[in-house]
Amino acid sequence: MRRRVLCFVLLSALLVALFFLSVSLGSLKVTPAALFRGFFVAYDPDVATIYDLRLPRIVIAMLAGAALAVSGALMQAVMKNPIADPGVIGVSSGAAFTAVVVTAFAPSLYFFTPVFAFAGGLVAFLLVYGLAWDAGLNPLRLILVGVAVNAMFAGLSEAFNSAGGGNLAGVAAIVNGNITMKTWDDAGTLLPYVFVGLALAFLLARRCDLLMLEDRTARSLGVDVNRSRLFVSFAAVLLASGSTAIVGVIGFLGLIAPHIARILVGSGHRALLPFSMLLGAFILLLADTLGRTAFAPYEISAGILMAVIGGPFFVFLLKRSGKNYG
Amino acid sequence: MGTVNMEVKNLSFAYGANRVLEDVSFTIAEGKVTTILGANGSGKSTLFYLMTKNLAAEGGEILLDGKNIDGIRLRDFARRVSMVGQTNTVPGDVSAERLVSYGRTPFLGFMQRPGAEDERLIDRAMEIMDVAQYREKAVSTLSGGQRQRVWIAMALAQNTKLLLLDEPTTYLDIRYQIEILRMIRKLNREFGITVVMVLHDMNQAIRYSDEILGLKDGRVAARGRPQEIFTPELIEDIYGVRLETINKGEEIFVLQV
Repeated sequence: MRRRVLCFVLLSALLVALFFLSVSLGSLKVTPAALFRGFFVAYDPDVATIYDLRLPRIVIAMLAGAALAVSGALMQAVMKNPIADPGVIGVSSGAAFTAVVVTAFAPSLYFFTPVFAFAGGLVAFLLVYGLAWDAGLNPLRLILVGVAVNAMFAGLSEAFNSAGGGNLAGVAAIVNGNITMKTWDDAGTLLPYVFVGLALAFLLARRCDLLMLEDRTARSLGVDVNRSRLFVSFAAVLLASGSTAIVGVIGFLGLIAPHIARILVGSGHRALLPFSMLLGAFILLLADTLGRTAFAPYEISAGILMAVIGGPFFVFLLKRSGKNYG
Repeated sequence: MGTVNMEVKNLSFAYGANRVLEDVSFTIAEGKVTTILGANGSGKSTLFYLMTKNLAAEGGEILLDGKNIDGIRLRDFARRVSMVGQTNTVPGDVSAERLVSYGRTPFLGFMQRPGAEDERLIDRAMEIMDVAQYREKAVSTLSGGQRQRVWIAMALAQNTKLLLLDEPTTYLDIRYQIEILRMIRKLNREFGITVVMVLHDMNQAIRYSDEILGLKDGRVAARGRPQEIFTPELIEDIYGVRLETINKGEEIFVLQV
């Protein structure tokens, strides 16, 4: 218990530190003192630029990271499978595809992109769930079907992007998982979806614990397993789709964050979900900050960095998951 | 708390074209230990799942205190009937106390935390099953016998008058099999819980049951007190193998070799 509290305190402190580091790093470098003065005391053109360009990007990275990590943890509970992840099983690419279509054909509906993304993510989720279901979810089957659904939607988005000559910046950004050029409008669009999704997730935390038992056992405790799965899946898809609509496809975060969280604070979802949230925010912000500063003025998108780190991690998890869960 | 009465009436069930249960009727003897016996494929597991609302009857009905269980919500059912399945999994770090506390789920509101009465029932269940000393330990680190006791304690925390157990001794060494069976009988004798269980071993069934329900090809082949019904003929009928029995006073033993 004390260890759990310590983990929460440490991670929160690290996240705050990273936040300030990320704000001060970049093509415009300012000291924390200058930052404070610029925000609260007197106008400073550098700080104003940072406020308009860098800060929304940082906020978006944290929101999306939190959403993706919690989405992963929820999917792992629904599918009773530690390798379920919105990116791996195709939910993100399903969401991305509809987001791409809306961005290309009806840019005026921009504010509602997450709603369309949610529909796409839901279709992908139902496809994977339905096709992988055979008197229970077989982990291997789940991954295989997920790979197929993921490839299909990712291919559709790519085809769409290429057919347009790659000219639509909004489309390309979603396809590549790129957080550059985000504004406060984007942050404002993302926030309500993340907020609702996280609130729903935390409400369902105890349900998630019971879903980890055998279905029969959960039922014997009076839990309507199918209905609980439906609610938890809804929250998971909402979180994944909302963030995909704004930052594009970012894989593996939903795997990495909950996995580390489980090691640190245990498998109980009342600790696991909030910790995954913080850790997801931390990891994606770290990836984005590294991506935009390490090779400045060039940028590596957070999505690409996550794939490079996440791929080996996924293999490691696959090898481990045969042995135990938790 | 009162009593609980479960009655199975003309129950039939099929997986596709494969008829598993055919016109099964019986009433569970209140306050007794009833054991369901039968060969593989006799329909005993299916019957167990039907009685625990994990399957829905196709023909006939199962009545709980006169009401068809199809029409009883899972939550209300869980307040009156508890069960422990044959295979049980739990994440590696869940402690025994936490697992037992899950037994209070059907009595708690959506966001409600366990109250003093819940805590009392959780402690009581752990004491009855003699697992209180492992409360802080992860269930996954316990031995097979200890683990099974924790699972039964979880069901006990539901504080029901009817407890159903699917092969509670499977995967256990003989010492733990006997330990579990003795505890189950204690639950019945001292705490008045009606027990229905599925067992494989005939001698254990005879020794620890008041009533036997023998299934053969989805039909009731025998029903009654073990000492009265066990004969080489019945065993041959149910299991398709002839085994001798030895009577020793009131007791009866099957030579299972």
